[in-house]
Amino acid sequence: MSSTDERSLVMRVLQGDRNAFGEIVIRHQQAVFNAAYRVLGNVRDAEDATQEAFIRAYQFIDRFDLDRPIAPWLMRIVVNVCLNRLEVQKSPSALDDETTLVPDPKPGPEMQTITRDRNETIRYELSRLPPRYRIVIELRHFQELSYEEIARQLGRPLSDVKSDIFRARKLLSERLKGLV
Amino acid sequence: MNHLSDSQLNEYLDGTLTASVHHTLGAHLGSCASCRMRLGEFQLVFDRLADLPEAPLSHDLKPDILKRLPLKRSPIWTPVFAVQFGVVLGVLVWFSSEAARIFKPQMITPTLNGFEGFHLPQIALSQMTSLFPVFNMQPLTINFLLTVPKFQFLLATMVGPDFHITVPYFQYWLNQLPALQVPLSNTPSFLIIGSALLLWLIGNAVLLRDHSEAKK
Repeated sequence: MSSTDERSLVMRVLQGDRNAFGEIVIRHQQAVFNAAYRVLGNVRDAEDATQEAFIRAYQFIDRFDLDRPIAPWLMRIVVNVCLNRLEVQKSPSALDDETTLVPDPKPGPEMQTITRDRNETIRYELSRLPPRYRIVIELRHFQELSYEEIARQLGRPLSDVKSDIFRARKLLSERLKGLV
Repeated sequence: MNHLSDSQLNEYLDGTLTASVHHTLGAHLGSCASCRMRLGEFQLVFDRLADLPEAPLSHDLKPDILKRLPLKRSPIWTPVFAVQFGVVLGVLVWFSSEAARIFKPQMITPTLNGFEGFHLPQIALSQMTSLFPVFNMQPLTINFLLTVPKFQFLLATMVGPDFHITVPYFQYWLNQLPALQVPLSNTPSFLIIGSALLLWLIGNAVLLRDHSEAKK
């Protein structure tokens, strides 16, 4: 989608055209859902977070900078929604806890024979990471933010962010070692 | 050179090191099989995450999202809204002054250009006090005026020894507050009140239209 298209869509939304917002949802829901899924670790929560993120985007669309692409803005919103959900569900300290969220179950033996897929395993191992690690992995690897941008978005010290990214990769590296 | 730390390996892969440090680490990696192996393990994580395909959505979320959208977005300070707000505020001020002119004619003072005016703050205060005794600010004002001389010394220090503030000075100053000019004829007032009503009707019509569109 060209930036001109996005701009005109947002302009129409600003003028009260809800169908234009529907068009934005169609174009970005997949990416927004995937970001939420990677962070929250299960489909139902991810779908709820996606809906909430789009509703927030609609409410605050007058704050959107028309000169920028809309996708990164939506991604920032959905990550914040996910963070809020994680914090509401558990105390902040529990964000370090590996058992904070129950991820979608690992495919059983029968399913494994069908979907014994490397990607399923990676997704499963991602969902097993402590939530604060999942957030930084999402922002660094999937949204390609710099360390500084991540620290700014999360409101955390740069050193903490780096440390979390490195530990998350270390954990993933150990768990994915045997993966062909 | 010692083996590289996990942080160094991570930053090497992230490309966040300076050129010279990057070059130094690269040289070490060229000669150290152990560090190269650890780098490979991290590189594998990068590759696996980069290759991860998107999970498909089970269904289109658009209908649910549109259903949950608020009827009206958060109010924004658009130029149109600012003009509407200004008009309504003007009408309110005008209406208050008209009411005051009718109910408090003794406050009206003659002016030079054929209009009559009065001191709006005093009228507003007296009206509020009579309607809501809790807003009776007269004792507060008197207390304030009585307190002023106590600060004479401080003010004289700041402004100069010749500067004196007295209670009558403040009362004089209060009486100099701007007086609103009100035309004698009531016609413009009715015109403005009529316009405000029209705006109100149009606003409600727009709200009804949005509501019916949202239901669709």
